[in-house]
Amino acid sequence: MPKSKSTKSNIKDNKDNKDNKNIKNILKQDELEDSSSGEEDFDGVSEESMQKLIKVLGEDGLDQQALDQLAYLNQLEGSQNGDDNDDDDDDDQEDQEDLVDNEALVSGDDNSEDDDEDEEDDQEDGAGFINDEEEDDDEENSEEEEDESTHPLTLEDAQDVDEDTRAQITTKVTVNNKSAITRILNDFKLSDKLPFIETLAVTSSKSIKDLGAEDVYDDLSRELAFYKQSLEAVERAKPQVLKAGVPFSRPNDFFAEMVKTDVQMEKIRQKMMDEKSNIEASEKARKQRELKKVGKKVQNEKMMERQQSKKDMIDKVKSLKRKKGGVDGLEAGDDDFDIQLEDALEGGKEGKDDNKKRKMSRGARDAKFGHGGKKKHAKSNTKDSTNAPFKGNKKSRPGKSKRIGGK
Amino acid sequence: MSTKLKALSKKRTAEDDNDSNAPQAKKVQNKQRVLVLSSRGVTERYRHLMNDLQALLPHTKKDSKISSKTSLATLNELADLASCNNIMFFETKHHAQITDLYLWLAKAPNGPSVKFHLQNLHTMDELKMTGNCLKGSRGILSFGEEFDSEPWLQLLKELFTQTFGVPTSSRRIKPFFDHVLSFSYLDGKIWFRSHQIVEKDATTIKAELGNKNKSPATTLVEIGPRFVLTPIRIFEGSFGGPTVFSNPEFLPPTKIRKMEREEKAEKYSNRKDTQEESKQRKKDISKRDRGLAGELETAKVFA
Repeated sequence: MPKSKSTKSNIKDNKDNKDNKNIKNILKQDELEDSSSGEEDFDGVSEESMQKLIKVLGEDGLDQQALDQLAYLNQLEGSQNGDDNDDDDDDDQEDQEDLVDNEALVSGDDNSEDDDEDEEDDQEDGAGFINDEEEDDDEENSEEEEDESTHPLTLEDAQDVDEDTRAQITTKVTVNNKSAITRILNDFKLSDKLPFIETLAVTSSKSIKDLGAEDVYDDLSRELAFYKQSLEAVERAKPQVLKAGVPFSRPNDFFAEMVKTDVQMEKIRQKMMDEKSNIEASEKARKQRELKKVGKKVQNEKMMERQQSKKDMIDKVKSLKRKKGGVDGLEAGDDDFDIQLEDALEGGKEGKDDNKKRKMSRGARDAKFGHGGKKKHAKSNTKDSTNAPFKGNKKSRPGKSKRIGGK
Repeated sequence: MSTKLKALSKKRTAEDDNDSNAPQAKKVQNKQRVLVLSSRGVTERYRHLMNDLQALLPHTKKDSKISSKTSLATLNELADLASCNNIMFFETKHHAQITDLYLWLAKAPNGPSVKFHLQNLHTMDELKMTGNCLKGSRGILSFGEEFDSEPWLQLLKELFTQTFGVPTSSRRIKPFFDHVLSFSYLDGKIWFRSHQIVEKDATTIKAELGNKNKSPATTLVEIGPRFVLTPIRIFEGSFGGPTVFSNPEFLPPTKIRKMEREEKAEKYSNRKDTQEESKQRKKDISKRDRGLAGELETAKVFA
């Protein structure tokens, strides 16, 4: 995950040492050089030769931008160019990059090297373009002035400022040469006349923040924002593609080599299946656990109920005993007490079911369960029974699961 | 005879020129070819990313790895040899068992070129990316609105359009559009994603005609790869030339790791310091106690 947030906040604290070193280096350079600007020294071109070159070229050889810069350089003579810091900033980069950096620094301020190109551009594009350029240049120059003014690094100043500001000084310097960038962009840009079908590039109408990616570290909303951006591009591209007379969607019967092989897709499918079954299994297990919990609860309740009823009964017996009072009373009418107790326990119920009608008469019971007669071989097959057609059970007993489920 | 033939052929070529000129004026073509290569010592993951990009972009040409000692400017010559006008170069740097990947995008031979730090890489091999698309179909490019805000971002957008946009002239392209490559600018970084376009066919649309909560007609499924690019610098030339932009927020990974290490070291040294302090304090206390004990020794008290 990107760490820029945390790291950014740490820069100042942790870079102090390094930056101090950088500043010291720069100061040393300053003492040694004691000349105007460091940028010319990098190039290996002395100031004198540069001035000679300028003389030879004459003012015609320079455009407005270069002239501005020349004047500006003269103004700054004696003070130091801040761009040196930039190089020291990246000193842990590899040599190769440093080389490039040095090259970059040489003309970082858009000096005479670029002028020839600029001139050509101007000639090609006519007066209107020149005006634009000049405006850009003005902006750029003012920016540069601001930049330079933020870090006037003389020896005394460097000693005066505290460490935090020093860190700021060294980290602040960056290159963003807008006019040069726009020039380069115009140079290599594809023609505006290119129809959409050639480039297929769609720029979103909403910023990514508007699409919901407020927090970079919120993966879900961020990815959703990217998704929305892509989807919008597709929806906008489709009519344009169709307008250009090119089919958009792939028909179902069009088969061709795919980016991912069938083996890979099979793996993906397998993984998805596995995930699905895993989810189902865990769901099932969860349900089972819950059921178990419920079952235990029911069991507990039943037990509690039983205990409660037992307790109630004992209480009742006790209260009855207390009502009857004294040991004498108990001894005197033991049978009476028993009857009373039974009555109390039975509650409002009718008395003993002695008078109640029996379920079956004696004869019926005898017929059913048998009384007297031959007991042996009653159930064994006879000739008749074997010949008789088999009558299946009228109501077969349902399966166990049904019986359990029905409860 | 020969002069006649010559004259005829001349005439023919002139006609051809006329013919070819007329449609050319009408039809401007976008011709791009990208040279994809890496530096020596690239790890397998990064190699897989390269393969993925190649599979997605039919207008790329792969070249052998180049040694880290050769200057990057030679890449321009390689591009010329392979008749490519774009270069996608994966540069690796090793720092104590960790390999950082830098991506260069360059317009050969005149520039500009951009160097990115590539992070958070997920290749297409990952099973979480379930999408798939035709090999060689042209991808739609989707850019965030932010790419129009700053000149340097505009430049990056143009560069992406030219390197990642598959031109119609490419030989290996397939018809139909079934994937979209998106570039979003967020948190100072460029996030790359690629999705498959899944469209509902007519029958399902018909089936869902009466249904109220029907799913959208187009959905996307991620294909991969995905990665995050942090722009470091933009150079005017191809692999060289003056810097026209450098990212103020970029910290080299080595520096970040160094800071992390220093933090750890600081924690350790702090702990050690406090340990030493407490040890000393205990020592002092015991010394003092011993001094007291010396005064209250039985031999002294009951002298």
